[in-house]
Amino acid sequence: MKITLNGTSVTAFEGENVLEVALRSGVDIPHLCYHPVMPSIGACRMCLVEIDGINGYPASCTTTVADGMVVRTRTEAVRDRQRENLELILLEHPSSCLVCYKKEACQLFRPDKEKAGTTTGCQSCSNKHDCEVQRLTVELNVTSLPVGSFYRNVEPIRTDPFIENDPNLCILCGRCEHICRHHHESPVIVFTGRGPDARAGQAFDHTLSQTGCRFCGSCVDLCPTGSLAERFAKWYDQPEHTFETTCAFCDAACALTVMETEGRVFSAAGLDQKLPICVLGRFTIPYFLSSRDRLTHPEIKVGEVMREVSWEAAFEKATAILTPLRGEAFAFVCDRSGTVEDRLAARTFTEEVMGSTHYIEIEDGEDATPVKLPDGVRAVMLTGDFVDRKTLAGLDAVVMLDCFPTEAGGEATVLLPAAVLLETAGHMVDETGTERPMVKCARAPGQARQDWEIICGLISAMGDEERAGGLADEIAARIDGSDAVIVVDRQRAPDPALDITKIRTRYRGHVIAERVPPLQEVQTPRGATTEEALSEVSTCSEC
Amino acid sequence: MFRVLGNRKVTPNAHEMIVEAPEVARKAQAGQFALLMVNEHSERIPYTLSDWDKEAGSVTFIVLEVGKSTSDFVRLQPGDEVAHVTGPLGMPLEVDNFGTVALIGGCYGLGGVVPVGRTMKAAGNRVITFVEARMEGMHYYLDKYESFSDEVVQTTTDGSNGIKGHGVDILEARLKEGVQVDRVFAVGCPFMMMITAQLTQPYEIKTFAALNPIMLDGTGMCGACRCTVGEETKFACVDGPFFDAHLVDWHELRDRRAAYIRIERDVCK
Repeated sequence: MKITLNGTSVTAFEGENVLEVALRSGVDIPHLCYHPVMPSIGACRMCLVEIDGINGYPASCTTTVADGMVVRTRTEAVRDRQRENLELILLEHPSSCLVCYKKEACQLFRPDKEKAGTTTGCQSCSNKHDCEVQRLTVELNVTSLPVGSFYRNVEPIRTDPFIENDPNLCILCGRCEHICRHHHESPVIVFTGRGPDARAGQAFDHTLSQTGCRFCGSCVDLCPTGSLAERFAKWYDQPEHTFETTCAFCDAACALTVMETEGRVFSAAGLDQKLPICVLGRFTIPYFLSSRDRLTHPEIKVGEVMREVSWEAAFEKATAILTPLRGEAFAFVCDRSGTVEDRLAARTFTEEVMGSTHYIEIEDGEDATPVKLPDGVRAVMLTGDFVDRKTLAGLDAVVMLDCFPTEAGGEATVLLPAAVLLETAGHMVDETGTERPMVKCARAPGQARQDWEIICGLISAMGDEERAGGLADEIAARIDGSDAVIVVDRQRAPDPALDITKIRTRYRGHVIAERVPPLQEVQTPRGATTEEALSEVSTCSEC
Repeated sequence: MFRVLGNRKVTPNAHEMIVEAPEVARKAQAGQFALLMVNEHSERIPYTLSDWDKEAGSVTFIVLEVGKSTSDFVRLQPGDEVAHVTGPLGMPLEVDNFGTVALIGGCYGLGGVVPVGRTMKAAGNRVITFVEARMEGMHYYLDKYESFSDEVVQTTTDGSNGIKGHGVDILEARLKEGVQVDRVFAVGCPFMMMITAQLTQPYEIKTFAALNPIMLDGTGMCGACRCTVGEETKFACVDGPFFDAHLVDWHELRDRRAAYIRIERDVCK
């Protein structure tokens, strides 16, 4: 069908709303509560338009198109209504920086965000660079407020893992409440209180963990203000680079959009906002990668202590202890967290260089550990915490390629630091058996290298430079020449995104929550017992 | 150990912290500061002395919550202890009867101007106090200003309290009206102090600003607080903190303040 938009005839489809048609046709109507990934709410009243035959100024996001509709979006009357509504929104938002006439000079002098415990203006707001309220204020040229703004003056909620909520900044647009309802069967965000006490939050002041939040982060992604913020990323400025890659925590293989600065990832979120992703992909990656416990340098055991050495010295030591144990006395143990290329290198090393059939790839990282080694094995190379310390202590040679120190690692003769997750490039196999590309987004800590690079280095040190070179070339060609694509068109959300008990708990044999402290709170919510919850219900004065 | 005697939230992001430090209180003079460590592992942070009480042996700081150490500090309650208070440090202000003195205070400077004003009033000056804030509810210490000011001007950026605008705007208006101002003292964020300096320069009014760089030892040894004033390198801890605002390299001050921003961000998570 056709509708007339500001005098121009444009095509519209059955069931679309006026705002969708306008945005698709390149006509920008100011909007705050509308977001393309969820149904319209019609709460903010910013997208008002004039439509022939309809009284007043209907909200374009909740008005379904009809054939022949005549819509005007830019008349002076429409702009006035929008401006008035925005002013009303700004009155309950700390908006002094928005209407400050020195803001350009201030911006020029201090373009970065300034950290603050409680945000009282844009200058110290974590959303400074990406604020939709700010953008509309400029667009609608609001430079003053009819009266002074009202500051709610409540304590920001900083007790939840991963997410901070400052109700003082909330404009009650309802996006968070709506997306939570849209994404999950039992939403955890509700509107509480009335009038000046209205909040988008949790009933009875429960924490997010208590309400059963899955920490998919969709609410944070959609918040147009700084009210909901991601704790880790909060005070980082604009990223130097953004990447699109695949999450390697599990074989759901969610597509991620990743923010990086100075080689460090500080935020990762679902690329496709139409569906939620799990807490591991959304929130834990920066904590996991930037943990201070990461292994950063090759180490070898000298007497009873581990000494940091160069890669050459580490390879030399590994060669010395592995060479006498070629054949069935050697085993390689890894799980499926590594890229396809890493596992190809490991298998080649085991079978062709060491001449052993004991290439052990753990199917499921959860229950398979600790692994029982085949009889007769006296040397083992591992990529994680898969074999218990006692077993390792009884072996003649242990070479570890790992990212974190472990108790079992104490038995290693050679400990090599590995790059993991977003520090690696290659492919992973998703649950349907399709290869998905992984893009290197972050610099590995210290001298850490990706597994296949380490293995090629070791093969070379063991005297087979030709094979090492050939394998490295083969892997490089596989990575470069691949036509694998990132999955974005999935039909349903992965299970761990909907049920937090289904998230993967181990990566390379390490318990993820041990490396990401806030995850412990998610998994063991400091929940109110049923009795406590009931007693609170009976004392609620609102109902 | 130094006991916390009082903690009062004066604005959404600032606390008035009163700490027992008799030796600091005994010697403190206007324009000086003290270095404080919340615990044995935290940073050393310089805080402007907003007030002190020789009898009670206490000093008062206005603490903005801007990162890990300040956040740890404002969470202390009366009876808790901080690891260390060193002071008073810095050069006391030159005090004389200059005539009319204008004070401009913003954020923590709302407290920082108090000793300056009190001393200037005692020396016989006429004192006009300009205190700016973002919005209503972010002004405090009105009673203190009134005790030493001949005039108090409150401004807010959004006009929700006092006059709409910034302290410098009202000062500019006064200067245009022909009001004679002989000295200006600014305490607050570098941007506010910079625009104050830019305003008073054409009027050739001697203007002093309390610089607030990152500081470590506070006694001129480490050089962390270096700043450029009149093309000379000065240490804010022993040569300042008050400097001739017309000669300060404000952009360098801003950049030096952000030297550890990456680590600061990481500990905030």
